[in-house]
Amino acid sequence: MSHVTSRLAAYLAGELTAQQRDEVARHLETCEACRREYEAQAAVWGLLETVAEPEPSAASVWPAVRLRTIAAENGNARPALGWAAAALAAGIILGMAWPGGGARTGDLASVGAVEDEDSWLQSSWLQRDTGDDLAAGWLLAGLDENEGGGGS
Amino acid sequence: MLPVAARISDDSLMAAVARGEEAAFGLLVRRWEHQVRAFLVHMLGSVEEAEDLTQDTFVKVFAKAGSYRPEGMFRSWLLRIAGNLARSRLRRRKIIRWLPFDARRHDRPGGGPDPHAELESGEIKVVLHQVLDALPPRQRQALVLHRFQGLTYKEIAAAMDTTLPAVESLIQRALADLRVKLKTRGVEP
Repeated sequence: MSHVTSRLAAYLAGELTAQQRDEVARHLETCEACRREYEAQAAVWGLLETVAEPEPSAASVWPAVRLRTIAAENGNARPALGWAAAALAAGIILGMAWPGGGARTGDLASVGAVEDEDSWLQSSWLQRDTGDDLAAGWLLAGLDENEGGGGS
Repeated sequence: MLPVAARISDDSLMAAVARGEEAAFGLLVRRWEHQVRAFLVHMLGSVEEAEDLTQDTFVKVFAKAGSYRPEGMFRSWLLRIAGNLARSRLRRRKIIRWLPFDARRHDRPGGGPDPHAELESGEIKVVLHQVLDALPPRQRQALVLHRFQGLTYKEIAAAMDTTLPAVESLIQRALADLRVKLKTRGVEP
Protein backbone atom coordinates (compact mmCIF):
# COMPACT_ATOMS: atom_id res chain seq x y z
CA MET A 1 0.00 0.00 0.00
CA SER A 2 1.26 3.49 -0.81
CA HIS A 3 1.92 5.98 1.96
CA VAL A 4 -1.07 7.25 3.90
CA THR A 5 0.00 10.75 4.87
CA SER A 6 -2.82 12.28 2.83
CA ARG A 7 -5.40 10.37 4.86
CA LEU A 8 -4.11 10.96 8.35
CA ALA A 9 -6.44 13.84 9.21
CA ALA A 10 -9.48 11.83 8.11
CA TYR A 11 -8.11 8.90 10.10
CA LEU A 12 -7.77 11.06 13.20
CA ALA A 13 -11.19 12.60 12.58
CA GLY A 14 -12.86 9.20 12.37
CA GLU A 15 -14.08 9.99 8.88
CA LEU A 16 -12.79 6.88 7.11
CA THR A 17 -14.83 3.79 6.41
CA ALA A 18 -14.01 0.70 8.45
CA GLN A 19 -12.08 -0.76 5.55
CA GLN A 20 -10.10 2.43 4.94
CA ARG A 21 -9.36 2.72 8.66
CA ASP A 22 -8.01 -0.83 8.77
CA GLU A 23 -5.84 -0.18 5.73
CA VAL A 24 -4.33 2.93 7.27
CA ALA A 25 -3.80 1.18 10.61
CA ARG A 26 -2.06 -1.76 8.93
CA HIS A 27 0.17 0.58 6.95
CA LEU A 28 1.13 2.51 10.07
CA GLU A 29 2.27 -0.72 11.68
CA THR A 30 4.83 -1.29 8.96
CA CYS A 31 5.83 2.15 7.66
CA GLU A 32 8.13 4.08 9.95
CA ALA A 33 7.90 7.34 7.96
CA CYS A 34 4.10 7.40 7.97
CA ARG A 35 4.00 6.45 11.65
CA ARG A 36 6.27 9.36 12.56
CA GLU A 37 4.07 11.69 10.52
CA TYR A 38 0.97 10.26 12.17
CA GLU A 39 2.36 10.81 15.66
CA ALA A 40 3.29 14.40 14.83
CA GLN A 41 -0.12 15.17 13.33
CA ALA A 42 -1.92 13.42 16.18
CA ALA A 43 -0.06 15.65 18.63
CA VAL A 44 -1.22 18.78 16.80
CA TRP A 45 -4.73 17.32 16.58
CA GLY A 46 -4.68 16.84 20.34
CA LEU A 47 -3.33 20.32 20.90
CA LEU A 48 -6.39 21.71 19.15
CA GLU A 49 -8.48 20.28 21.96
CA THR A 50 -6.88 22.80 24.29
CA VAL A 51 -8.36 25.69 22.32
CA ALA A 52 -11.03 27.08 24.60
CA GLU A 53 -14.58 27.64 23.50
CA PRO A 54 -15.25 31.39 23.30
CA GLU A 55 -17.06 32.80 26.30
CA PRO A 56 -20.76 32.98 25.54
CA SER A 57 -22.10 36.46 25.06
CA ALA A 58 -24.25 37.82 27.86
CA ALA A 59 -26.61 39.51 25.44
CA SER A 60 -28.59 37.96 22.63
CA VAL A 61 -28.24 39.44 19.16
CA TRP A 62 -31.96 38.95 18.64
CA PRO A 63 -33.18 42.47 19.52
CA ALA A 64 -30.66 44.03 17.13
CA VAL A 65 -31.33 41.45 14.42
CA ARG A 66 -35.03 42.07 14.73
CA LEU A 67 -34.61 45.80 14.30
CA ARG A 68 -32.33 45.35 11.31
CA THR A 69 -34.69 42.95 9.57
CA ILE A 70 -37.61 45.25 10.15
CA ALA A 71 -35.60 48.15 8.76
CA ALA A 72 -34.57 46.06 5.76
CA GLU A 73 -38.17 45.06 5.21
CA ASN A 74 -39.08 48.70 4.84
CA GLY A 75 -37.14 48.77 1.63
CA ASN A 76 -37.58 45.16 0.54
CA ALA A 77 -40.80 43.26 0.26
CA ARG A 78 -39.31 39.71 0.59
CA PRO A 79 -40.40 37.78 2.54
CA ALA A 80 -43.74 39.38 3.23
CA LEU A 81 -43.85 39.95 6.95
CA GLY A 82 -47.05 41.03 8.55
CA TRP A 83 -45.27 41.74 11.79
CA ALA A 84 -42.75 44.03 10.17
CA ALA A 85 -45.42 46.02 8.43
CA ALA A 86 -47.45 46.20 11.62
CA ALA A 87 -44.50 47.39 13.65
CA LEU A 88 -43.65 50.03 11.09
CA ALA A 89 -47.24 51.14 10.80
CA ALA A 90 -47.36 51.56 14.54
CA GLY A 91 -44.38 53.90 14.25
CA ILE A 92 -42.54 51.93 16.87
CA ILE A 93 -39.09 51.72 15.46
CA LEU A 94 -38.72 54.09 12.56
CA GLY A 95 -36.89 56.64 14.61
CA MET A 96 -34.51 54.08 16.02
CA ALA A 97 -33.77 52.03 12.94
CA TRP A 98 -33.31 54.76 10.39
CA PRO A 99 -31.27 56.18 8.84
CA GLY A 100 -28.47 54.07 10.26
CA GLY A 101 -29.75 50.85 8.76
CA GLY A 102 -30.26 49.11 12.08
CA ALA A 103 -28.65 48.66 15.44
CA ARG A 104 -25.22 47.13 15.79
CA THR A 105 -23.38 45.74 18.75
CA GLY A 106 -23.22 48.47 21.31
CA ASP A 107 -26.63 49.82 20.48
CA LEU A 108 -28.38 47.47 22.82
CA ALA A 109 -29.36 50.20 25.21
CA SER A 110 -31.39 51.86 22.49
CA VAL A 111 -32.76 48.50 21.50
CA GLY A 112 -33.91 48.05 25.05
CA ALA A 113 -35.63 51.41 24.92
CA VAL A 114 -37.50 50.35 21.83
CA GLU A 115 -38.51 47.15 23.48
CA ASP A 116 -39.92 49.05 26.42
CA GLU A 117 -42.28 50.79 24.05
CA ASP A 118 -43.20 47.68 22.18
CA SER A 119 -45.74 45.77 24.16
CA TRP A 120 -45.68 43.01 21.60
CA LEU A 121 -41.98 42.45 22.13
CA GLN A 122 -42.63 42.10 25.80
CA SER A 123 -44.77 39.07 25.16
CA SER A 124 -43.58 35.82 26.63
CA TRP A 125 -41.89 34.40 23.54
CA LEU A 126 -38.92 36.73 23.85
CA GLN A 127 -37.93 34.88 26.99
CA ARG A 128 -36.07 31.60 26.60
CA ASP A 129 -37.82 30.12 29.58
CA THR A 130 -41.23 30.66 28.12
CA GLY A 131 -40.48 29.42 24.62
CA ASP A 132 -42.87 26.56 25.26
CA ASP A 133 -45.84 28.87 25.35
CA LEU A 134 -44.89 30.28 22.02
CA ALA A 135 -44.30 26.92 20.45
CA ALA A 136 -47.53 25.61 21.87
CA GLY A 137 -49.24 28.62 20.35
CA TRP A 138 -47.90 27.76 16.91
CA LEU A 139 -48.86 24.18 17.25
CA LEU A 140 -52.36 25.15 18.24
CA ALA A 141 -52.40 27.52 15.29
CA GLY A 142 -51.77 24.61 12.98
CA LEU A 143 -47.99 24.64 12.48
CA ASP A 144 -47.00 21.11 11.67
CA GLU A 145 -44.16 20.22 14.01
CA ASN A 146 -42.94 17.50 11.71
CA GLU A 147 -43.09 19.61 8.61
CA GLY A 148 -39.88 19.38 6.63
CA GLY A 149 -38.27 16.76 8.86
CA GLY A 150 -34.60 17.18 9.85
CA GLY A 151 -33.29 20.15 11.73
CA SER A 152 -30.93 20.51 14.62
CA MET B 1 -38.89 15.09 27.70
CA LEU B 2 -37.73 18.04 25.67
CA PRO B 3 -39.63 21.32 25.86
CA VAL B 4 -42.06 21.81 22.98
CA ALA B 5 -39.98 24.62 21.47
CA ALA B 6 -36.88 22.42 21.39
CA ARG B 7 -38.76 19.73 19.51
CA ILE B 8 -39.71 21.99 16.64
CA SER B 9 -37.25 21.29 13.85
CA ASP B 10 -35.15 23.98 12.23
CA ASP B 11 -36.88 23.23 8.94
CA SER B 12 -40.27 23.89 10.49
CA LEU B 13 -39.03 27.12 12.00
CA MET B 14 -37.62 28.20 8.64
CA ALA B 15 -40.94 27.45 6.95
CA ALA B 16 -42.61 29.65 9.55
CA VAL B 17 -40.01 32.41 9.05
CA ALA B 18 -40.70 32.33 5.31
CA ARG B 19 -44.38 32.76 6.11
CA GLY B 20 -43.59 35.82 8.18
CA GLU B 21 -43.65 34.38 11.70
CA GLU B 22 -41.46 36.66 13.76
CA ALA B 23 -41.67 34.34 16.75
CA ALA B 24 -40.19 31.51 14.71
CA PHE B 25 -37.33 33.72 13.64
CA GLY B 26 -36.68 34.76 17.23
CA LEU B 27 -36.53 31.15 18.36
CA LEU B 28 -34.21 30.24 15.51
CA VAL B 29 -31.84 33.09 16.34
CA ARG B 30 -31.78 32.17 20.00
CA ARG B 31 -31.27 28.50 19.20
CA TRP B 32 -28.24 29.07 16.98
CA GLU B 33 -26.65 32.40 17.88
CA HIS B 34 -24.10 30.94 20.29
CA GLN B 35 -22.79 28.40 17.80
CA VAL B 36 -22.63 30.98 15.03
CA ARG B 37 -20.81 33.41 17.27
CA ALA B 38 -18.33 30.77 18.47
CA PHE B 39 -17.63 29.75 14.88
CA LEU B 40 -17.03 33.37 13.90
CA VAL B 41 -14.76 34.00 16.88
CA HIS B 42 -12.62 31.06 15.77
CA MET B 43 -12.67 32.26 12.18
CA LEU B 44 -11.93 35.92 12.87
CA GLY B 45 -10.07 35.85 16.18
CA SER B 46 -12.09 38.85 17.25
CA VAL B 47 -15.09 38.79 19.56
CA GLU B 48 -16.25 42.21 18.44
CA GLU B 49 -16.21 41.34 14.75
CA ALA B 50 -17.83 38.00 15.52
CA GLU B 51 -20.71 39.79 17.27
CA ASP B 52 -21.27 42.02 14.25
CA LEU B 53 -21.13 39.17 11.76
CA THR B 54 -23.45 37.07 13.92
CA GLN B 55 -26.03 39.76 13.42
CA ASP B 56 -25.25 39.93 9.71
CA THR B 57 -25.61 36.18 9.42
CA PHE B 58 -29.11 36.15 10.84
CA VAL B 59 -30.17 39.16 8.81
CA LYS B 60 -29.13 37.15 5.74
CA VAL B 61 -30.96 34.07 7.03
CA PHE B 62 -34.09 36.16 7.19
CA ALA B 63 -33.55 37.60 3.71
CA LYS B 64 -32.97 34.13 2.23
CA ALA B 65 -35.68 32.29 4.15
CA GLY B 66 -37.81 31.99 1.05
CA SER B 67 -35.09 30.11 -0.82
CA TYR B 68 -34.20 27.70 1.99
CA ARG B 69 -34.74 24.05 1.05
CA PRO B 70 -36.00 21.98 3.99
CA GLU B 71 -33.64 19.03 3.70
CA GLY B 72 -32.60 18.77 7.33
CA MET B 73 -29.30 20.57 6.72
CA PHE B 74 -30.09 23.87 8.36
CA ARG B 75 -26.88 24.00 10.40
CA SER B 76 -24.74 23.57 7.30
CA TRP B 77 -26.78 26.18 5.45
CA LEU B 78 -26.50 28.61 8.37
CA LEU B 79 -22.77 28.09 8.77
CA ARG B 80 -22.28 28.50 5.03
CA ILE B 81 -23.75 31.99 5.31
CA ALA B 82 -21.60 32.76 8.35
CA GLY B 83 -18.52 31.28 6.66
CA ASN B 84 -18.99 33.34 3.52
CA LEU B 85 -19.30 36.48 5.59
CA ALA B 86 -16.20 35.56 7.59
CA ARG B 87 -14.10 34.89 4.50
CA SER B 88 -15.27 38.12 2.98
CA ARG B 89 -14.21 39.94 6.14
CA LEU B 90 -10.83 38.21 6.08
CA ARG B 91 -10.32 39.24 2.46
CA ARG B 92 -11.07 42.82 3.40
CA ARG B 93 -8.56 42.64 6.22
CA LYS B 94 -5.94 41.40 3.76
CA ILE B 95 -6.53 44.43 1.57
CA ILE B 96 -6.37 46.73 4.56
CA ARG B 97 -3.02 45.21 5.55
CA TRP B 98 -1.55 46.47 2.29
CA LEU B 99 -2.57 50.01 2.99
CA PRO B 100 0.26 52.25 4.27
CA PHE B 101 0.49 53.43 7.87
CA ASP B 102 -1.23 50.40 9.30
CA ALA B 103 0.26 50.46 12.74
CA ARG B 104 -1.21 47.10 13.66
CA ARG B 105 1.27 45.38 11.39
CA HIS B 106 4.21 46.95 13.14
CA ASP B 107 3.61 45.96 16.69
CA ARG B 108 7.01 44.30 16.94
CA PRO B 109 10.25 45.60 15.51
CA GLY B 110 11.18 43.32 12.63
CA GLY B 111 7.56 42.33 12.07
CA GLY B 112 8.00 38.60 12.68
CA PRO B 113 7.36 36.53 15.75
CA ASP B 114 9.94 36.05 18.43
CA PRO B 115 9.80 32.34 19.21
CA HIS B 116 12.09 32.53 22.21
CA ALA B 117 10.06 35.23 23.88
CA GLU B 118 6.85 33.35 23.11
CA LEU B 119 8.14 30.12 24.53
CA GLU B 120 9.61 31.83 27.53
CA SER B 121 6.22 33.32 28.24
CA GLY B 122 4.85 29.79 28.11
CA GLU B 123 1.85 30.86 26.11
CA ILE B 124 1.57 28.02 23.67
CA LYS B 125 -2.14 28.61 23.43
CA VAL B 126 -1.52 32.13 22.24
CA VAL B 127 0.81 30.79 19.58
CA LEU B 128 -1.78 28.20 18.64
CA HIS B 129 -4.38 30.91 18.11
CA GLN B 130 -1.94 32.89 16.02
CA VAL B 131 -1.06 29.98 13.76
CA LEU B 132 -4.75 29.14 13.39
CA ASP B 133 -5.37 32.73 12.36
CA ALA B 134 -2.56 32.42 9.81
CA LEU B 135 -4.12 29.46 8.00
CA PRO B 136 -5.65 30.16 4.59
CA PRO B 137 -9.33 31.01 5.16
CA ARG B 138 -10.83 27.90 3.55
CA GLN B 139 -8.49 25.59 5.44
CA ARG B 140 -9.31 27.37 8.66
CA GLN B 141 -13.03 27.24 7.93
CA ALA B 142 -12.99 23.49 7.32
CA LEU B 143 -10.85 22.81 10.38
CA VAL B 144 -12.93 25.03 12.68
CA LEU B 145 -16.17 23.52 11.45
CA HIS B 146 -14.90 20.04 12.23
CA ARG B 147 -12.74 20.49 15.29
CA PHE B 148 -14.65 23.20 17.13
CA GLN B 149 -18.17 23.01 15.72
CA GLY B 150 -18.39 19.23 15.49
CA LEU B 151 -19.56 19.04 11.89
CA THR B 152 -18.94 15.86 9.93
CA TYR B 153 -17.05 16.05 6.65
CA LYS B 154 -20.36 15.65 4.84
CA GLU B 155 -21.87 18.59 6.71
CA ILE B 156 -18.76 20.64 6.05
CA ALA B 157 -19.00 19.86 2.34
CA ALA B 158 -22.54 21.25 2.41
CA ALA B 159 -21.49 24.26 4.49
CA MET B 160 -18.65 25.08 2.11
CA ASP B 161 -20.44 24.12 -1.08
CA THR B 162 -17.74 21.65 -2.01
CA THR B 163 -17.04 17.91 -2.20
CA LEU B 164 -16.06 15.37 0.45
CA PRO B 165 -12.57 14.81 -1.03
CA ALA B 166 -12.05 18.58 -1.07
CA VAL B 167 -12.97 18.78 2.62
CA GLU B 168 -10.58 15.94 3.44
CA SER B 169 -7.85 17.70 1.52
CA LEU B 170 -8.51 21.06 3.19
CA ILE B 171 -8.38 19.60 6.68
CA GLN B 172 -5.32 17.50 5.88
CA ARG B 173 -3.49 20.54 4.55
CA ALA B 174 -4.63 22.62 7.51
CA LEU B 175 -3.24 20.05 9.93
CA ALA B 176 0.06 19.75 8.08
CA ASP B 177 0.29 23.53 7.79
CA LEU B 178 -0.40 23.97 11.50
CA ARG B 179 2.36 21.53 12.33
CA VAL B 180 4.87 23.41 10.20
CA LYS B 181 3.80 26.80 11.54
CA LEU B 182 3.98 25.61 15.15
CA LYS B 183 7.43 24.16 14.56
CA THR B 184 8.57 27.46 13.06
CA ARG B 185 7.39 29.15 16.24
CA GLY B 186 9.29 26.68 18.39
CA VAL B 187 6.28 24.60 19.42
CA GLU B 188 6.48 20.86 18.88
CA PRO B 189 3.65 19.19 20.74
